[in-house]
Amino acid sequence: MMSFFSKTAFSTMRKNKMIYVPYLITASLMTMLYYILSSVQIMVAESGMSGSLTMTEILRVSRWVSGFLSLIFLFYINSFVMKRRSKEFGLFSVLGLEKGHLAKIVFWEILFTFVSSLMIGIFSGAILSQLMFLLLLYIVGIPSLLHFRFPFQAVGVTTILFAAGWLVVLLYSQVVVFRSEPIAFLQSAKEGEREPKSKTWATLLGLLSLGAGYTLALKVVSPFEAIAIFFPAVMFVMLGTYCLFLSGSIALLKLLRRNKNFYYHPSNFISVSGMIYRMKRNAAGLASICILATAVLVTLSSTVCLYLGEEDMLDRQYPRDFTISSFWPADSPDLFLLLKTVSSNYAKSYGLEIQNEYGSIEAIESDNDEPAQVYYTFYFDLNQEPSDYAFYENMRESYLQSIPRLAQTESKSLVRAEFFQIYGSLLFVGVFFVALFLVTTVLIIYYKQITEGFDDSERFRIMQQVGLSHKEVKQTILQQILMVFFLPLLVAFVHISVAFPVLLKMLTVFGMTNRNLFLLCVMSSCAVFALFYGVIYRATAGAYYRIVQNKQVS
Amino acid sequence: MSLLQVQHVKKIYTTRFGGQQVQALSDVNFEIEVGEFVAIMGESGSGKTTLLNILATLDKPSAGKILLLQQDMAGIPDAKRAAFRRDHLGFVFQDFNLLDTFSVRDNILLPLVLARVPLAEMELRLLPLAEQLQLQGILQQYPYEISGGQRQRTAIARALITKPKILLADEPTGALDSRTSENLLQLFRQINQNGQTILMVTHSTKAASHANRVLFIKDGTVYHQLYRTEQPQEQFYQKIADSLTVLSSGGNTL
Ligand SMILES: Nc1ncnc2c1ncn2[C@@H]1O[C@H](COP(=O)(O)OP(=O)(O)O)[C@@H](O)[C@H]1O
Ligand SMILES: [Mg+2]
Repeated sequence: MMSFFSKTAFSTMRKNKMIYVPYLITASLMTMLYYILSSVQIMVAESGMSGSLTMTEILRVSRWVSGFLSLIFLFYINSFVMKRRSKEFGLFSVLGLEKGHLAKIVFWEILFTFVSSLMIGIFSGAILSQLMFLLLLYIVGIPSLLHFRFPFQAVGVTTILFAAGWLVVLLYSQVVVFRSEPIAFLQSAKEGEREPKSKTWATLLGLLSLGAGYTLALKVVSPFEAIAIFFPAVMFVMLGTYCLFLSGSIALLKLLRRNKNFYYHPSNFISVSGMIYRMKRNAAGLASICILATAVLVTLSSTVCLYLGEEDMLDRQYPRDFTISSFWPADSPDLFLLLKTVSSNYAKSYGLEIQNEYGSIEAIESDNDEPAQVYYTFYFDLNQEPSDYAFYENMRESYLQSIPRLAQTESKSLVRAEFFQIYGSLLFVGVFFVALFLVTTVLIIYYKQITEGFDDSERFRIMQQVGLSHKEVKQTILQQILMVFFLPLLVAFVHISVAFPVLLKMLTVFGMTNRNLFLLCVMSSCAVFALFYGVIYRATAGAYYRIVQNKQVS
Repeated sequence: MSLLQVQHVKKIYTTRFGGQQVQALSDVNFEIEVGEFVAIMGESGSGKTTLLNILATLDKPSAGKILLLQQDMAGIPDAKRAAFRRDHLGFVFQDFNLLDTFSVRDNILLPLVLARVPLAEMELRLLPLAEQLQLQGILQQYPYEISGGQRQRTAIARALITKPKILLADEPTGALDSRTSENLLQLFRQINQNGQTILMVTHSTKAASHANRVLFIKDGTVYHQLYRTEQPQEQFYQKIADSLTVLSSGGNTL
């Protein structure tokens, strides 16, 4: 039998479905993404295919990172939902529910959300993970092995991780319930009614921090320096973004308001004043959207670039199909002749011919007492693909017989397979991260829109009474939403433009030096993201407009 | 000259669920001359707000006609209603309906900004009005920082700044204490003496006694009216109170 508290929990969730359903969907999607990553990792590990070790490692690391991020996002979203609902809690308190009762209601809500999102997430994840496994195999270029399974281990880790996450959410919510006064519940929805003060120090800190981050990024010369400064720079930029959104935006809006010719124009008048008024509440969300958007762009463009640039990197490192290299005493006769003869003979034993051969010599620094050495590298192609796989397998053995100090015998097609496994896996997890960021971004935008909608509906009702037409309401809404929602996108674009050289340097560590390809990847990521963002904006602006419109006069 | 003519106005609300019909106004007729200060009295639920919303073009009558300066308001296309409201009508509401996002000054200027009046002209209109309504000192403050009386005076300034043909007020003293109410009603009289036509809806006898004419509304129709003529306010107050007693005890004459 259901208790009073669980029943109340259900009925409040039903009443708040505009807030609650998207919350549940998001939680389920996060669970699903995590479950898919874990089960694909297990499927890859168990498949025993070549390269499964590298791929498992990449998947394992990203699984942890994505799990961690999911929990942070869940926590963030939950605190938002709690704030939104404090009014309702206040009403309950006034009606005579004690804090202990409220805590029980919240407990039931969170328990329900946990259980249902876990079930939905794992169920949909189980269906999709097979598909995702096939997708991964397709991306890394391995023919499908048809290894369908439902790894129970993945169910276990997903359940444990999310149980822990929801436990933290639960504890936080209980603390919120117990620490607040009933009257504060009633007031907290009214918080932020006062015009926010623009704090000069915060604006300055933001400018300095952003400046520091940008300077670090722009002054980078070497790839390793790029890796070293990347995380400090990211931290600086994040701090700067938050400070500037929180404080700088208000300072800017007040500046706009001081410009009377701009301000006293119908739509500017309404938008600017409305934005100042609510910027305090909006700013943190917008800064988060901006950071998430930047994360999406960085992840998407670099993983896609590495994947697409695979052939390019391969060509740079391996100009021919085969690469043989060896150390050789500097005073001995030329090794190239030997290398060529050995290669030619080896190819002939499989009925093949070598072609396009060329070589390179590199001096090796040595200690004084050792004889000087040089490093020979010999490159060649074959007239046709070897049909016998033994050609690759016996190659090293065969060369070693004539060239004792052999360094490497690499075949481009084997390395290519390896590259595909690494960069394909990276692309695969990159897509997962992008999905995770996007899900969170969309939810934040949606919540912003409906909160704004509820807040604004009263204002627009009044404005219609004093003579704002329907058309003007619509136009004003459009402008306001444009200002609010495209600012983070714009700033994200600025961030990625500044980060571009650093990212490019970091990619050279992987051997990726094709600047134009990366530029193309960044630009198309921006374009795709902007398009996606636009679609989300339109959809949520519709929700906003419906809410505002609900209370309007004709 | 007749400023406003209300002829056989009827309003029936159909509730969204169940389709139940509520007749808020059955047959309302009256006229208002330029320069009058008219109060419409009635109990709560008698249809006062409904009537005012219709006059304000915020709602449409189910039947009947409203003429403002001989022009039929039904003839105004929907798209022009907002502009019409802005240019010809001023409103004051019981709960002030000020916007917390704007300072007092910007709240007052709002209708002018919407009408795209030039900045210089706005300033020109604002200053004398602020002086008359004693708002000079609080122009930079926000609605949540000022008292109820100040808020209502702000709302009146916002209504008057467009120089409306008629000022419509719905229970303007409803949320104020008696002293502040008294001041506000004095202000209304003063504004009226300066030539502003006012139509005020109220359930307070005290408020109605400040008007030059009182219409009584009941069961969705105007069934009685009193002129103040030259009598002092106390006497008029008494007369209104008497009428209400007589009328509520069953008298039904016009
Ligand atoms: N939007 C509406 N839908 C249905 N009925 C309404 C609506 N507005 C008012 N009414 C009804 O019309 C009648 C008159 O209401 P109202 O004009 O607000 O009265 P007053 O302002 O005199 O108190 C009431 O019975 C009220 O319930
Ligand atoms: Mg009313």
